[in-house]
Amino acid sequence: MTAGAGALAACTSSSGGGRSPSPGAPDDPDAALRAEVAAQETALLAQYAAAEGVMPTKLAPRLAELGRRHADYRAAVLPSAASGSGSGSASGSTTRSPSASPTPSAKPAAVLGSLRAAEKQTSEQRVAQAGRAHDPELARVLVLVAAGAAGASEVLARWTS
Amino acid sequence: MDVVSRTDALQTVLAGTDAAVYAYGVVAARLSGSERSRALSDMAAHRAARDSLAAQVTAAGAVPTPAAAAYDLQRDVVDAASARLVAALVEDRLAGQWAGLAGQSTAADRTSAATASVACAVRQVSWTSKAPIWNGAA
Repeated sequence: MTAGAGALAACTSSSGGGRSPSPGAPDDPDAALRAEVAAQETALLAQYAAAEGVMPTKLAPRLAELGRRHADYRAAVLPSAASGSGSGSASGSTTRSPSASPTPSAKPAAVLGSLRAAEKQTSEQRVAQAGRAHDPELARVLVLVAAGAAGASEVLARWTS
Repeated sequence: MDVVSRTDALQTVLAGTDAAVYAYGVVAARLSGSERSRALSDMAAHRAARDSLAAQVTAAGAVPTPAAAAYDLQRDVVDAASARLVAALVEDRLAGQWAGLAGQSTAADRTSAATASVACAVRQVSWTSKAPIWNGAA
């Protein structure tokens, strides 16, 4: 039972179907798109950081781990010089927006529900943004981010059910 | 858009969906009740995708690579637990392959490939309750 083993092999790279300037180059046609995605990922990181504060001790680390992926996603769409370490935690290297902080009395279930909705919205945004990308590799990464966010939304749904 | 690369990407996902249809047959045999129904439903989704992909390969002027008689599932499926893991593995890999196809597609086709990738990621979580950061990287 060995035929087609490649079909189950991971697809972790792209040969690239188009010619695009390097990310961060002055003529990068995706510069605005990259900045838009990075800003949205930063806002979601802030939402996770705020949510950790109202989670039970047992759940907070799991939530932090789930949110941390958005630092990786942010780093993946930015030119390397602008993306920082790319391994920041959901608690660190983020700027909290006023709307990101749940009130101290917010119930964990409600906060998780908000995060789930935010992840779902993020997935939908990345699908749409992939359609706008000029760079085939950026499009591929945005689709992977969409998939990751959709998965995170489903995980959060299981925590609240 | 590089036509050859897109056709290659189509063939890659086609092979992945063929493998998924095969895998879900094995997986379903080790499951029961609602889980078995879900596996069969997922298999039907991949079969429909496979038919669409084959038509796209043909439309691109190439010959769809035929399905193999069997596929290496990378682990033995001996019980329900291992069946769930293989189902999740298949969905994970396919999510990455669909993303690769999206990168090789024009905007209109990119959305459908992206949607398929997301659907795979959601199905993966349904089997293991875990979501990898990057699908297809395992």
